[in-house]
Amino acid sequence: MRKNWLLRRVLASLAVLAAVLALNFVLFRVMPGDAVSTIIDPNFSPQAKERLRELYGLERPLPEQFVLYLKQMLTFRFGLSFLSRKPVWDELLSRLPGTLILMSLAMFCSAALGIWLGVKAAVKRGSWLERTVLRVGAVMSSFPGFFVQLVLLMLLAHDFPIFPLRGSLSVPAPSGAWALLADRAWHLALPVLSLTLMGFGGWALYVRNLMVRALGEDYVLMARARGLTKDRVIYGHAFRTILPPLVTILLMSLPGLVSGAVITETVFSLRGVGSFLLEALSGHDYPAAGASFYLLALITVVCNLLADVAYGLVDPRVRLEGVNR
Amino acid sequence: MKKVAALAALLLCWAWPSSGAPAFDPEKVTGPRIERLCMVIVANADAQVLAAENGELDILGDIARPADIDRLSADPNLEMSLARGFHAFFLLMNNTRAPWNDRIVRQAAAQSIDRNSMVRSIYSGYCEPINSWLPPVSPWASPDGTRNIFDRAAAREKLLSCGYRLNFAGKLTAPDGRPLPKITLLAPLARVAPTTAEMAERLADSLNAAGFDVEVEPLDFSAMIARLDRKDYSLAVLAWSMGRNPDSLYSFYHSSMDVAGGYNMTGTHDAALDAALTRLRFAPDKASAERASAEAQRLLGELVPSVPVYSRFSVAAVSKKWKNVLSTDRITADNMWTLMMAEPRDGTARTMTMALAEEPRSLNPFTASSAYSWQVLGMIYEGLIASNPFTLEDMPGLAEEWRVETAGEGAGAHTVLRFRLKESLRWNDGTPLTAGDLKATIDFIHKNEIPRFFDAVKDVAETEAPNARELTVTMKGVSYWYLDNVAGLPWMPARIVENVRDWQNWDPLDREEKFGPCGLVGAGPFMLEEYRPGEYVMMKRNSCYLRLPKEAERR
Repeated sequence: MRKNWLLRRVLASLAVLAAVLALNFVLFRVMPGDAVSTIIDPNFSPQAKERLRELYGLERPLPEQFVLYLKQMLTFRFGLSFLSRKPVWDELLSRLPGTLILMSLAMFCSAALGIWLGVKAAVKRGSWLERTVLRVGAVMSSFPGFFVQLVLLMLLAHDFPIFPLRGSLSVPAPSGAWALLADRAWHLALPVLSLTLMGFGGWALYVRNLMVRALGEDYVLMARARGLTKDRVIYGHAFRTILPPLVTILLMSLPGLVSGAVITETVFSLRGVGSFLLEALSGHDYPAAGASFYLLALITVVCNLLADVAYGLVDPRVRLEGVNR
Repeated sequence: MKKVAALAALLLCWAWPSSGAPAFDPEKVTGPRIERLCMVIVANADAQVLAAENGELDILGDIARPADIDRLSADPNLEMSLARGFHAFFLLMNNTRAPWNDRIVRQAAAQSIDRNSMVRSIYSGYCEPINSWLPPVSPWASPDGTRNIFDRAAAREKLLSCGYRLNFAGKLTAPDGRPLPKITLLAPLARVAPTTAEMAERLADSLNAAGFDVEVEPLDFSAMIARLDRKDYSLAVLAWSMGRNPDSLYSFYHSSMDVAGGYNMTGTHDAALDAALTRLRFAPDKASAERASAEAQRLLGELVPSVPVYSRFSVAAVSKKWKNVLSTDRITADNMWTLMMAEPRDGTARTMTMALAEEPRSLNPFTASSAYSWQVLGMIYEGLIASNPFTLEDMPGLAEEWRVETAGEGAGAHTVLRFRLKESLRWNDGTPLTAGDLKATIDFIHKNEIPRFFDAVKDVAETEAPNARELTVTMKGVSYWYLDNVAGLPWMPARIVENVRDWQNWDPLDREEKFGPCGLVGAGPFMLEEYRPGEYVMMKRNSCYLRLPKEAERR
């Protein structure tokens, strides 16, 4: 039964991936204009544009372009970016570490803070702590990201210059591994702080709601009746039952680690995948945009599958859903 | 009040160039006097302003937002400079579609637009209302290019005298009694280009006040360009950066350019204008070009195929810690002359920092297309001819003299460009720069039909380098503009271009030399020292630069 359930999930994921592959190709081509048509430069004649189109392979028939595209996606050889004329794979790889570090730190900090505050708020219902967590969490997640980040930049990098204004390295970069590491950490502090401030609220509200429900369940009453310590009841019984949805959310957030944060990268002048994606889209850079979306879709589908499997492992009802029916 | 004071201070800078024009001879300039120039990548415009205030940036150019200009103008540690720019904003009219196929309607529309008040209210005055099809900064622009032609009553009178009438709703009807069609004005989305979108609304209001029935249609930029290309529009707003030379008018208004991928987006077809533009494009010498340019601009003023609206001023801020900063009414302080002459005011040698608004994604001169890549490459490569900062006229670069000659007659007539290089030129790696290197560069670009330089060399028939200092380029046709096109190529040593195996994939920073030699070898004032992607580009002084002060060379 478990095999069938897993097979069904894998097949569904492959179908999603195939659909994404096709849409990825079609959507970019049906968008008006291309990388050449938006050039407005009187020194770039129609003949020069034709020559460029030839080099980009845009003059080839669409079926031929599609076959080439499929081949590139399936072999992970994504070709050259129209904008930089460098291999897309190399460009993505060079940006990935920065994005991964920033986003995973931010996700870890916001999830840890949010979960901790959410549990505390649920345990102390009606207290000032709960009210503060609910209000601050709601306000922080409702503010536009660029606003919060610009205010932080203004306050903590300009008015009180504790953090740097831009980038992930000082100019010139310090020499020595430790100095370099410290410099990077100093540059990352403000972007991570801003993402944490904007992200913890969502976690806190979600965990608080789940915990409130869990704390009202009979098994928690039973645990209390057995005389278990408060922490044991909260973390050993109530918190454990809310883990499956939390694991799912965590896994579903993983693609975000790779896609990066376009606004954060722009505000703090950080080099990452988010800004690469934005440039690829606005510049009609088909190879770069196609590869980025394909990889994101792939990671999303894999994470989705992992979430399904993980959910199935921690909650047998999911696996047996079909059987019961 | 603060805004008025800021604008007044900037205009003062504009009227009185900081370095005093009469005493300054660009040909005698020596430099660079700084050892290093660091181009710091700061993508966020707000962070750029904060960094300039903090003193982390010495030079910040291309400041576009009025609020930023006001803020930086109030900073006592910064010196602001303002110059007329090459940017121009147009209201495009589809000349192939009613009512814009009627010249009188186009003229009346142009007259109905109150450019001054729009520029004041939207851009706080940091733009210049224009009535010229060339940027006012260009030495070729018509002298009355900034004359205010706004006169709504006269525009209405003009229409009424040609049989147009106003109906009971205050809308125009054509001479045959039918109401003018409802007109849509294509504009970029407000969230992408808020000021352009606002400008489009104001233009629509102006035209509606004159009796037209105009409605703005916000559109994605690519979608808008696609519709302009297909002539599937009535009105549209578009801004672009123009060059110094007037031959761009041929690309925008000659009927032969009304083709797919061409820039005649207004669908202008006029025999007299075509003739003037042809004379301009294929002028054998400067005098003929001047006559043809004036004639073409006069005809454009009559035909009004599009409506010039405003040109944005260039604004730059420079830290007062630096002296010998040059700004004129044509260039702001963030220019090559400043980078050559600037010295720390306190005499302590240090690195100058300037902002780079985006990462230079490619430093391959054959494929780099972004302005940010060329901001870096432009310091490494030197042209045969430079541009005088006060007049924007040609002045010697690598070449000490040049001639544009016409050989042959009738159909066989063709332009011959003769350059004589300065003495003892050297590349930034210390090797001698010869005419043979320049010939190799032209031949390489010509042979490979490199798109970026395709138009510059496509008409080259033959290149000769009879000796180390003489270069002769024979063209297939006749045009004075061949001079600037050829003179502005990125010149490289023969040993570099001859060893580039794949110009598309060539990465001059690749130490493995997979597709060609490693290194950016040019003859410009700076050379690349270190590039940290996403962080900064460190340039160092080219110790072989042709204008280097003697004492620096000795060091």
